[in-house]
Amino acid sequence: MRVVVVLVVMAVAIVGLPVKGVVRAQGMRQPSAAVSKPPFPLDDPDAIAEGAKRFSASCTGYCHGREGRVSRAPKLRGKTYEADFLYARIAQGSPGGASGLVMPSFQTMLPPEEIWKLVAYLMSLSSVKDE
Amino acid sequence: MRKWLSVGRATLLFALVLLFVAPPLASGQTAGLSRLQNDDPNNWAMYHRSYDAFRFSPLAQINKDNVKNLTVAWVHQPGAIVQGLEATPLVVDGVMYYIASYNRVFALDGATGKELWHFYPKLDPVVNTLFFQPYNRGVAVGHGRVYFGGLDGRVFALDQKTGKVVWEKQILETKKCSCNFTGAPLVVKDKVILGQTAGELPIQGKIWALMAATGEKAWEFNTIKDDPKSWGGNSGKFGGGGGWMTGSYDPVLNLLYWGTANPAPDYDWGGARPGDNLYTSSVLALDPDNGQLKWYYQEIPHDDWDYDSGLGESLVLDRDGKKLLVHQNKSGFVFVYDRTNGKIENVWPMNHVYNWVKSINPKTGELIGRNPPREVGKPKFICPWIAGGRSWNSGSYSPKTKLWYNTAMEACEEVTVEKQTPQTEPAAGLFFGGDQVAKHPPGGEAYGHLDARDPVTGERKWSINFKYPPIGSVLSTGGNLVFHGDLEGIVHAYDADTGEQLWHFRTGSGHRGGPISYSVNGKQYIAVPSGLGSLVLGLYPALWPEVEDFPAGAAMFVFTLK
Repeated sequence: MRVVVVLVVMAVAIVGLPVKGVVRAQGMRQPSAAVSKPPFPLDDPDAIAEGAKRFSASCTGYCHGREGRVSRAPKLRGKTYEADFLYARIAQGSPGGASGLVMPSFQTMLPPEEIWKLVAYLMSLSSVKDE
Repeated sequence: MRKWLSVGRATLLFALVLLFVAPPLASGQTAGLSRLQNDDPNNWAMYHRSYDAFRFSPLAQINKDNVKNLTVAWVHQPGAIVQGLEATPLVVDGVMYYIASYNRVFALDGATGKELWHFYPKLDPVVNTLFFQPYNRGVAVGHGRVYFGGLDGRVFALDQKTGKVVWEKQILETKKCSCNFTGAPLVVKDKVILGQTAGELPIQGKIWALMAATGEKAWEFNTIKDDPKSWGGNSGKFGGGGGWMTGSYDPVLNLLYWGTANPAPDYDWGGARPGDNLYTSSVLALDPDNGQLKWYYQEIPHDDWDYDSGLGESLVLDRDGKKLLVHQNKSGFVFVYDRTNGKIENVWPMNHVYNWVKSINPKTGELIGRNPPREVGKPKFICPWIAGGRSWNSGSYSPKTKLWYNTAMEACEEVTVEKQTPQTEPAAGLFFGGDQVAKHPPGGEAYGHLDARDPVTGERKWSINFKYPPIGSVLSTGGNLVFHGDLEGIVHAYDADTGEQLWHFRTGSGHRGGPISYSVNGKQYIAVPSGLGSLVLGLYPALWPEVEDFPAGAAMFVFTLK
C-alpha cells in the first residue's frame, strides 16, 4: 500500500496537480486510483495490439494525437514512463493544472485489464520517435 | 379523503407561494421578450446578443476615430483556467453575467467589475470522466433568472439578483450517457431551450425545452429520427447527433432554428450506419411552443467527416423581400435558406482549401463528388480538418455595412478509419470510428483568416490572414468597428469597411470566447474574454509544435475610452 501511495505521489509530482483552489472550486471528489498488477506481461503483443485499438478509440483525436504523436496533451511517443504511473494517470485522470488541460478519469469506464492494455501499448511507444 | 385534502392544501399553498415569490411570468414574459428582442442598445442580453444571431452592438461611442484611445477599465479572473475561457458574457442593465470552467457563474458590476455574486456548483464527480468538460460557452438571462446547462447534465436557474438557486433539474443521465450541456441556453417566451452533447457518443442526442418558471420539461426533440431507412439495422440507437450550440429565433414566424451535430461514429467504415442519418448534421426549424418540426434541411447527408451542423450561428436576415437564414457547418460551406420553408437559396464556400467534395450545387445543396474516408486502417488526406473550416466560434453581421465578419481555418488532416464497437456499459464511451493527424494543405502552410463577406453571395470585401487559425468569435459595432481576438492573445479592432487595424491589445493568453459591447451610465465598454483552451487545440501542435506551450488562462478584459 505504501508503494502505491508513493507511486501516486510521484506521478502527481512529475506531471503536476492543479492548485488547491481549483480542485475545491470544481466541487468534485477525485477518484482513488487503486493500482492493480498487470494480468499479463506488458510486452505481450496481443495486449499491445488491443491497447492500440483502445487508444485509437479513446485517446487520440483532439487529445494525444494518433499513435501518441505530438499534441497539446502530453506527447506519448518516444517517452519513457513507469507502468504504474501510466496506470494511475489513466485510471485517475488529471483535473488540470498550469497547462490548462484536463484528462478524464477512466477507472469507472474501463476494467483494470483494459487499462493495463493501454499501459502495454504506451510502453511500446517508448522506442518510437516522433516525426 | 384526508390524503386528497392534504394534497389539495399543499397545492393551494404552493400556488400561493408561487404567486408571491415567483416573478409573474405573464408580465415578465412580455418585458423579457421585449428586452430579448433587442430594443435596448446598452445590453447584450443573450448569447448572440439578439435572436437574429447578428452579434452586432449598435453602440457607436467607440468609433474609428477614437478607438486608439481604448484602455483597460477592469479585469475579472474566474480563478479556473482549465480549457481557458470559452464563454460569451451577457450584460443586462449594467450587470455582467458570465460563466467560466467548472460552471463558475459570476455577476459583476459592468462599470467597475466589482463582484455582485458568484455561484460555484458542486458538480457530480462523473464530470471527471467526460470528454466534454470543464468549459461552458454561456448563460441565458430572462424572467429574473440566470440559466445555464451543467457539466453533469443538470440545468440551473439562479436568481438574477442574488445568484441563489431557484431551481435545478437533472435533465440528462450523464452517468450513463457521458453527455452533458456546454452551450448557452436560449430563452424563448416562457421556455428555456438548450441542446446536449452527443455527436461523439453512442447515444441519441436531443434538444430540450424547459419551463422557465419551474424547470419542468416542456418538450424534447430527438435528433435521431426513428426511421429504419435513415438508420440501417440498430445504428440509430447509437446515432449521436444532439444540438450542443445555441440556436436563433424568428419571433414573426415563431420559428426556432437549431443546428444538429454529426452522427456517431464520426467516421463510417462502410455499413456502420446505413442511410442518410436524419436529423444529424442538419438545420431544424422547430415550433418553440411544442417542439414540432416545421422543416429541416440536412446539410451533410450521411456525414462522413464530422462536419457537424450543431455549430454555426443561424443568421436571421431579410434581403430584397426574402426571409433568409444563413448557416455554416464545419465543412467550410455556408448555406443560405428561405427560412419560411428550408428551401436552398445559395451555398458558397468560405474556405479556399477543401477536397471532401468537389463542390456543392448552389441551387439545390447537393454534394457533388463526395470523398469520404472509408478504407479501414489506410490514412486518407481530407480538407478541411476535423476542427472544421470554422469551429463553433461565431461570426458577426453588421446591418450597417451589410457584411458578415467570419473566420476560417485552412488546414487538413489524415483520417484513419477503424472499426469500433459502441461501448454503452457501464457508461457510453467515445465513438469516433477512427482518428486523425493534422496536415498542412497541399503546396503550402495551414493558416487562418478573418473575412468581411456578403453573407448571401459570399462576395469578399476584405480579408486578414493569421498564421494560427483563429478560434475566437467576432464582434461588430455601430461605431463601424470589428473586434476579434487571435490565438496568440492579441485582441484587434479593425475598420469594418476596410479591415485596417486601428487598435490592438495583448491580453496574454489566446482567445476562444465571444467579445461583446455594452453601455453603463452612458459609457460604452468592450468586453473581451481571454484564455486559451479548447479541444481543437490538440490538433495544432502537429502543424505548429510551439502551440503545445501556448499559455492557458482565463480573464475577462473590459475596455473603455480614456
